[in-house]
Amino acid sequence: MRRQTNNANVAKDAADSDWLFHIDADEFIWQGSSLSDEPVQVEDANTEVNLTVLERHFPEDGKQGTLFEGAFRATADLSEEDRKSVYGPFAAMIKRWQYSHGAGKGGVRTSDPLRLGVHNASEWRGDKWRGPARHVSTSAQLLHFDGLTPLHWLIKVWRYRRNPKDVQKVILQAHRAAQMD
Amino acid sequence: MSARSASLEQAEAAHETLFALTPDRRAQLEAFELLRHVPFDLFSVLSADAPDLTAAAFNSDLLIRNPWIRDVLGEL
Repeated sequence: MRRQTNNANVAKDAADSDWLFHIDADEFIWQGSSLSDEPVQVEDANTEVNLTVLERHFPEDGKQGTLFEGAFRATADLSEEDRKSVYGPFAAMIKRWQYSHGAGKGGVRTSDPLRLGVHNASEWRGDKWRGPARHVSTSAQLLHFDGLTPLHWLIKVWRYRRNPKDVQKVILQAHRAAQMD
Repeated sequence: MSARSASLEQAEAAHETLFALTPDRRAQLEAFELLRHVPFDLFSVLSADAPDLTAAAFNSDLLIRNPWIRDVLGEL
C-alpha cells in the first residue's frame, strides 16, 4: 500500500494534467458524461472527487466469454443484523456488498496540496493528515474487475495466502481473509 | 429473519422477506436494484488494435508467461 501511495503522489507531482486519479490495473473509469458537466462543479480548492465503485460479477451461467462481460453491483451499507440476514453464509466475505472494496477511488487537482491515498486523499491540517472536502462524482464511476477471470481471481487470492499469517493480518481486511478460508 | 442463513436459498428468501416487510427500506437496500449492465465496451475504444480479450486467451497468456503462476497452480 505504501508503494501504491508513493507511486500515486510521484505521479501527481509529475503530471501535466489538471486532475489525477490513481487507480489499479483492474479498474476502469466509466464516464456517462464529462466531469466538467457535473451538476455540482468542483470549484473549491482542496476537494477530492470520489468515484463510487461498481464491482463486476461474472455471468450467472458461469460461462465467461470476454474479460469485461458481466453485471456490476453497487455498494450498500447495511446494519450488522441486515448484513447477516441478507448475505447469509457470504456475510463474512463481503464488505459493503462488495467482495473487494467499497470505497471507490479519489482524484485530486494536481495543483492542490493534497496527498493521494490508495482510496482517498488527505490534507495536512496542522497536526495530522485528515480527509479533505469530498465531492462524489455524478458523471463517472469506477468499474472494478476483481479478477479478470476466475483463474485470475484464484491466483490473486492464492498470492495473498502465501504470505505468512502475521503479514496476512496486516495486509488483508477481514472479509478478504474469510474468502481465503 | 435476522438469524444467519445457512444457504444461499435461505439468504435470498430472507432478503425477499426483508423487502416485503419493510418496503420503506428499499432505498437502504438499493444495491439489490443496482446489479446492472454497464455499456462498457473496450472494443469501441481499441477498435482494430484490440487484443484478444477472450477469457480463454487471457488465461492462456497467464499460464504461458508466468512461471510463478505455474508453480502456484502446481500447489493447488
